[in-house]
Amino acid sequence: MITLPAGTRDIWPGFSLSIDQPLVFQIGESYFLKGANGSGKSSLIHHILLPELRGRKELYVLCLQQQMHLQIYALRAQAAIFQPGFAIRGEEDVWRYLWQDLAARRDNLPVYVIADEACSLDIPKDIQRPICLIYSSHRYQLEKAHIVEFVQLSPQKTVIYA
Amino acid sequence: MSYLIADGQHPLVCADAVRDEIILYNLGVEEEALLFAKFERITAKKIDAESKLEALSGGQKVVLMALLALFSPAPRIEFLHLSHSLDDDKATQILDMIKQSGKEILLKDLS
Repeated sequence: MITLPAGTRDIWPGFSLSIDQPLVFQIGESYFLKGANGSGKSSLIHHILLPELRGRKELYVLCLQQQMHLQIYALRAQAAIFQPGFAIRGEEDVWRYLWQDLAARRDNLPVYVIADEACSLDIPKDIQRPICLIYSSHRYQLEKAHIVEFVQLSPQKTVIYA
Repeated sequence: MSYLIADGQHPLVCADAVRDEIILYNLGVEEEALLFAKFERITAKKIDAESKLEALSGGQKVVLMALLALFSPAPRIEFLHLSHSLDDDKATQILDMIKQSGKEILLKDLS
């Protein structure tokens, strides 16, 4: 379980995110980051959530970035070394490649899946690993997902409600 | 027939400031002013030529790309993955602008 404490964080000069109540992300649950463009969804992921998850040895983090062309290049390079022949052409291939990589690991550590405006949220059915899914999208809302709402008070300030 | 390609999955080419993209799209002074005003109306965020691109959200980058293409001298534009990163309100506003642009426009992969 990951808890982000309540409070205000300055993301950069002229933009802050306020977390109204402590944000809890539990294994086995899905969380939908809901908000308009520019409301701070990616900022929460990159400036608050990922730094909190990074370096933890008791879990995996699978992160799909928005506008992921740089991530695609990086994974193409990795695949060329570790899985020659695995073609990574677009986002769906990245998703498939990362899940396959995770499935090959023999432990049963949980995975935090973070999908920032992902095209696909299809988690392979043969994955037995405990999962916490945190995603933002303007297209999908999974039925059982908890909503984490981003309310823009002004272009300079957003409040996050769970 | 040549089209300016504007892809929502790769919205910006430059890495520094808005001015670099403006040069790339060959916008005149008038179009530049119109772009800033329109961007603010759509996103509620004020930008100018010196604004850093990294301070824009993913969706704001797509809005900027669409406006750059529409205000550019290009008579024909092909938009790819345009709606992917946009919320409904912004997608509607951009699509309205496209309809009113008078340019020859192809929209692909709007899913």
